Amino acid sequence: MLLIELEGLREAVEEQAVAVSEVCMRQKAREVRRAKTEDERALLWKGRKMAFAALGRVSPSYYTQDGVVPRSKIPGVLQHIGEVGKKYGLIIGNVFHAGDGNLHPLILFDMRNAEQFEMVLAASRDILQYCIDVGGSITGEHGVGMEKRDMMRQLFTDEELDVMISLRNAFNGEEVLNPEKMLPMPRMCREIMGASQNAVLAREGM
Amino acid sequence: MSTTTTPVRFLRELREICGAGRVIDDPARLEQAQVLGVTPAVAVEPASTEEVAAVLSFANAQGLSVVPAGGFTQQQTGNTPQAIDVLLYTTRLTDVEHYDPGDLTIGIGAGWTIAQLSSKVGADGLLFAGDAPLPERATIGGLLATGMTGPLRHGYGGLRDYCIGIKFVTGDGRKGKGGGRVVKNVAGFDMMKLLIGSQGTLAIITGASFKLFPAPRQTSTFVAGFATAAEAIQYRNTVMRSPLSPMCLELVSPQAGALLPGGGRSGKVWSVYLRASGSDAVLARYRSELGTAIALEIDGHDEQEAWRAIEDFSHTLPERYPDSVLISLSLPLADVQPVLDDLESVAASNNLMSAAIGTVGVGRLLAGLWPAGEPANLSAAVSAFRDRLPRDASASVLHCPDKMRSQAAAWEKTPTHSDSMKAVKHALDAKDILNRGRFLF
Repeated sequence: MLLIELEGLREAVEEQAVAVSEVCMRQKAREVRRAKTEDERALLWKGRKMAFAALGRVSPSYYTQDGVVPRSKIPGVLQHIGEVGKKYGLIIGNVFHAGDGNLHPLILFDMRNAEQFEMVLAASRDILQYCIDVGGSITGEHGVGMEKRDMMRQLFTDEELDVMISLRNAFNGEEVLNPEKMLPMPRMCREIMGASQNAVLAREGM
Repeated sequence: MSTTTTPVRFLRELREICGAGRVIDDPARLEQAQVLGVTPAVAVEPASTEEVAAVLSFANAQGLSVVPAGGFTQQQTGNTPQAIDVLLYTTRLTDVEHYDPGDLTIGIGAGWTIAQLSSKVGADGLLFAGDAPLPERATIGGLLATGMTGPLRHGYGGLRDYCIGIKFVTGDGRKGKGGGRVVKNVAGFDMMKLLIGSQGTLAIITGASFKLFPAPRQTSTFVAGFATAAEAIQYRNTVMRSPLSPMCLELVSPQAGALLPGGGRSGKVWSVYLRASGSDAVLARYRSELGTAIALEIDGHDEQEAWRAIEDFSHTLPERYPDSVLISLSLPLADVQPVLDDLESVAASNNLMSAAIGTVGVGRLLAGLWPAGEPANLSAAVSAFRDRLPRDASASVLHCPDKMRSQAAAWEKTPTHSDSMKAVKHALDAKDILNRGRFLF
């Protein structure tokens, strides 16, 4: 289901509504329903906002991703997510910002099942890898913490990361703020690393 | 003025990097590439990010000063360069990294001109919203480095809103990148916002990705005239509180209007130019909402010509009045009218003429001052005007007479976080080879 909201002058919205309807039907939509009242409009959006919570009824836990693909790659990525679900034996729902290509695949699982949890992480990496391969990103809204830190190497070269690290060090050279987050340990230029990265290397005897 | 000869002994190395025909040491050509009266010792035309990186690594190792250049439309800003050992043209960086009209994004080299980019995406019914002056000459790299904006800023936002990826080489020769080619992306630091407006002092931008917009199918421009700036600003407020969402909303002062085609479309008055897009029904709604204040409606060729003149104003004024000072201001919306009043009163009490034009719905204003005829103390007037600016204003001098240039830096608002800025400069260009001495430090 595509939920499309139009905003603007009444005259413009009326024209766009007709155009949107025509495009949807041309693309083989089964039906195009239009909210007739403000209450109906609010209800549609309430449905969207409650979608994540509703999945709690299907499965005890879910894992959400935040990958992004160029807009024209949405059909391909949805097909790929379907295949990933089959490959790992997982149910994956998709509720996301289609106009931006910003995905939120919801991977359903049971936290008590450790083996399944590993599958979830593998499925998630698989999806993000697809996003990278088609020119997208590993995060559209929520940023990079520790979990995706090492995938930064697939978006940026060591030299590009090195530039970001030197900027970080200009403000936060001792890594007091959010240590070990966002930027992976570089494989080069040890002298400009932050304190915690040097500490990690020391721990590992490097 | 001064000509440096230092790097001539490095010609062989530069030729190895860029190719023999791409290193310019012909005095006549170098003379034509002066920046604020300073002749480069040598100029290079690298064809790729790799070549830019090799030139900067070499210059960094040798301590040579490097000035990046595109279409030479904004080189008149800033202080006089101490020396230009190497002028680095970005004009051969013209690759297309990605373009699928269905994505509404494009990634291109920094050497594309704005006009070339607009024409390419226009053929697919798309709009590039960067409308800086002199688009046939202005390059994408220069547009980003100077952070220039035009009237489309009102409806489409500034560069920071639609530049979604950037490639660059730091002063110490490292190849950097920020963002990518998708419209939402928060992986890594936002290098786009760091480099937009950094005036070529941190890195040389070699390419960028942009979000594009559907091009309007038809537009119309409504011109309203007012006796005073206060009335014109009141009209701005009325438009902004209405349901209308115009593409452009521009204020033109009487003296600025005199420099537009036809000497200003609404006579010796303050004009508000409003550009709207949409169907016949939408434009009819604009007519009814805007009411009797509209003195004129233009479309087609006349409309294009009017907006082009507004876009080019920052060049038209100094061409017409070489002794003028042109200041770019960014203001809180409520401060636009008081600043316009201050500009007029400073001009009146110093025997000067003044003109103002600006995207006043977002607080952008270009303010010009020039002698009315008799000798006038322009420098003192500009200082007085600057001192009256509100605390939250940002101001920079886009053009001033050469004899005043050494004082121009003092007119800039003092950066409140200069230590942080210096730390960033040191992180990316520790040897200070890029645009040395031209901006802030």
